[in-house]
Amino acid sequence: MQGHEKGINDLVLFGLTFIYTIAVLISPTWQICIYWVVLSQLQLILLGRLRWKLVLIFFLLLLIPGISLFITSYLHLKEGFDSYSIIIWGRVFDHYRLTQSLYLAIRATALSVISFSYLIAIHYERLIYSLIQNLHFPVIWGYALLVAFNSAGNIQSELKRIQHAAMMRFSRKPLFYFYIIPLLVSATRYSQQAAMSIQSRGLSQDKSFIQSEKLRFYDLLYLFINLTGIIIPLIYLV
Amino acid sequence: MAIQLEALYNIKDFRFTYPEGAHTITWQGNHLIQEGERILLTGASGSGKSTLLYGLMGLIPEILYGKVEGDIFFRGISIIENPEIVKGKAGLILQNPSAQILCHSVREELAYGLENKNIAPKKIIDEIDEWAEKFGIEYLLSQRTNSLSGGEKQKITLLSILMTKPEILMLDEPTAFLDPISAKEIMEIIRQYDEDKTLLFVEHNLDFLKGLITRNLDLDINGIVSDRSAEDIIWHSPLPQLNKTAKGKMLMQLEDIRFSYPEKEILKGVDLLIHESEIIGIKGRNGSGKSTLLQIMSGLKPKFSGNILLENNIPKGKFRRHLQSMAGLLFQDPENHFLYHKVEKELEGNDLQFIENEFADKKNQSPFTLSEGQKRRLSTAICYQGNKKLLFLDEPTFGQDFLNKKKLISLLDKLRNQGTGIVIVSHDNRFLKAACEQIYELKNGKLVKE
Repeated sequence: MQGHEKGINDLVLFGLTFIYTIAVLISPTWQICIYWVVLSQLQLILLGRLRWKLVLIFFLLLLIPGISLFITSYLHLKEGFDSYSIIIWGRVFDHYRLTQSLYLAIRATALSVISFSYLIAIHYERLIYSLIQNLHFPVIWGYALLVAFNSAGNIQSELKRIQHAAMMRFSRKPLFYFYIIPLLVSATRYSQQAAMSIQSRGLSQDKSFIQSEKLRFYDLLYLFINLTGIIIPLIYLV
Repeated sequence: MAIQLEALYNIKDFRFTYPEGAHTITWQGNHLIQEGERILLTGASGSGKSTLLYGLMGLIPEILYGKVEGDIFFRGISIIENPEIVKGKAGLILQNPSAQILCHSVREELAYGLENKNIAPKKIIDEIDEWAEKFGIEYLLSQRTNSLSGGEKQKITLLSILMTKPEILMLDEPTAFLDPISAKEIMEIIRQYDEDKTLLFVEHNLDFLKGLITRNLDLDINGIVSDRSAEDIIWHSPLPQLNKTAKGKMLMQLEDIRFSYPEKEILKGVDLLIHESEIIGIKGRNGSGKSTLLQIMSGLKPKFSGNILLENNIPKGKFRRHLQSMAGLLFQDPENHFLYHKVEKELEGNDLQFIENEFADKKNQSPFTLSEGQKRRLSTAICYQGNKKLLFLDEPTFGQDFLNKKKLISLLDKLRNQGTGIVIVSHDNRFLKAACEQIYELKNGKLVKE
């Protein structure tokens, strides 16, 4: 098989996005939340799907909203019935409010990190091929999605052209509503031509693929290891 | 099921009305296309050439919605009732190569058609390698489709279709976006394709079709105006040559203009002098920097090195705004100029009375529904708004037939007589020769006098 380097199937990564998201949402403690985020990010970096610098930058960007969330929730939370005071750096804090605020802030940050990293790590064209080959996703929808992904560059150049047209006409950058009609016309034309291209080249549900995206034993093993990594701390806590 | 035993195609009293009755195209009577014919479809813009191809491809009314009357038969079977009948037998190449690319890698794009025939992957890969070697595109196989140039994209789309060995190949202005060298390469691939196959061309540029075409159908919206053999085709109708006029004072001078994109230096010291009432032509290969140069000259790209001198000394702070107020840039696609849904709104502030008169009865119409020639003239008027002293035209003959090119030349003449200095960037050498007093070629980042 030729094309890209064979790695973990993108369908597995797509599934893991949801699994880790649900895991974070139902996590009983903030410590487990951190463990799951680290686990998910570390493997994406080791698989070569993510650059650690990118994760770090995104995490640092999230620090400000994360800390803000922590402070605001601490200020607004009421004391729990089993609250007690603790002293940190000479200041008195309510333990219940502190742990709940921390839990909320870490969970929100974890959800952002997981969704962002998988968004970057997944190869969407490979995911579509995998959906078609493994889950019988209709090819007509699959190729329509591929066209949509391809159109990003086209939209960018259209926006630039409209901007230039308006600048030449009014000697200033256009207001947003000037983009609407030309962009709509361009999108309609583009989608019609793409539809013609798809149909005129004989699209068929019974088709072969030069690049196999069938799930292999290693993909399922990788999924199993991840599920084990998620479930074990839960069992330990129970 | 309607069955007629006859030619490859039989177009029988076919009539297609676009949604909301915007446009109706009619082919009265029986029109036959035989196996192995190589047909050139000509006619004014909006005469239904592309619509006919879409009909023959079985895309009407499935993809191209509208009201259909009459029928088109493929080997005796109605295409309108059974569009599937032409699937895999006919291939269509469209004008815009970017919109036809479906996959992210060149190899997958080439494989797409064969995959749809459910051919074994190993055989497809062998076939791709064989075709790539035959047409010298091995270097493209490992690339991503979004990194290709327009010419390379069109080549890949064409090969992707040819690899499926269609019995009928339809080409809707396949060279419209290409420079003459890329267009010649595309035509060479078509020439090398099996001679027994049926070819249908829509093409304004007839230079490449000599020796390839056996029949010409000239169309208008009411059907076929003339049906003639290749011997009767007028390959080159000469465009009216503009007379030389006296140049006025200097409007703009470019001195050692240099510009780089992150990956390469595209302009390496361009010098040019533009006067009042002068028309200058610039040609060059795709990606040579022609459009970039026009954008610099019209003030849209402020980051360049070198000098632009204008007729008066303009203070540095006001230079760009002044440049944009004195120069107009006409884009390749006239629709890129349209920002409103009515011609009347587009014409607000128009300084050309003769354009105003032409659109007097179309003021409430959407500019997008005009004919290609009208769109071009309207966009020129928009570009000229504010009585511009300089006009920069980027591929003004794009999608224009012979008649519209003639009208464009007469429009340029009128603008020139008003004192406007005009720079035209085009691949259309004949048009440049007819309209321009001086032609340059942008080669290796510099302007070379022809």
